[in-house]
Amino acid sequence: MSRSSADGQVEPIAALAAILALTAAFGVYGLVHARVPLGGSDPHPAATACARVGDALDPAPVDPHTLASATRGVAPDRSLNVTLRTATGRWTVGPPRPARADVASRLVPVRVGDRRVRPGRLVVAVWT
Amino acid sequence: MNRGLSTVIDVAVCVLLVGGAVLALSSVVPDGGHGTPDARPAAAARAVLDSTATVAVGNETVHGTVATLLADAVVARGSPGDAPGYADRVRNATARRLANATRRASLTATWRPESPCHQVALAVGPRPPAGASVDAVTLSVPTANATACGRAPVHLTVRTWSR
Repeated sequence: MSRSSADGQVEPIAALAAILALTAAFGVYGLVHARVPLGGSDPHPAATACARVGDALDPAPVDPHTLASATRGVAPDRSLNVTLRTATGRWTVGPPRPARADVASRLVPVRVGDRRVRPGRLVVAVWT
Repeated sequence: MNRGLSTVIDVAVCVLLVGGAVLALSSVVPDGGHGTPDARPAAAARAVLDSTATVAVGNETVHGTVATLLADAVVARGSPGDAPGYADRVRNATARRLANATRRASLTATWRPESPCHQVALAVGPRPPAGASVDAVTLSVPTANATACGRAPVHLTVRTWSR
């Protein structure tokens, strides 16, 4: 390939180097992209579900009777067990959790009666 | 400009942009559940301070949240004419609520009023073990209308640790 006119051709070596450089650059990008968990593969699904249930139960103190409605739609493609515990009471929604389930918990105030609030623990287990 | 030189610059700019994209992508850190849940002092503070208790004062009983009872008890103890035993009963009720929530938290109520009242500090719960990483949150309860000793608020501090 030789230059025959004023608007000439790109040197073949330069063109090949350019293609190689771009291929390498996009290859590196692809490798990095594959290693970054962007949605889809949540490393802590229980923590996410626990935060969602906790947000749905706000404002505090938590009324145990709203547990079922707060749990709805939190983890649509997984199995979910949500348990609320106080020193004297226990409320649970969902099937019993297997040992392999991912579990997260947070402390919440729980309304256990008329004008009676006690510290409790919201435990969320998620599995597939 | 020479077409060959232009191509080199184009490719260099493109590789730079892709490099920037790689850096941006690798700086995405998934929001993992760092620390144990009990080590978050705000949740522990809400669970304990929003809980309610009933405490005897003389022949009557006072019902309220742990936060209001603690603030009330600290102001009562720091003021002249303190009802005997009230602050201790509030502290015992607080200790029960705290123990029901978690064993890895402590609570302090402090008040620094002007004279003739005096400074008060009430501590509830265990001490964090040596070397533990401790987180804390402090809430202010205003006392402006409750006392003749200035407008100093009561500070409620909740400390949590993971080990």
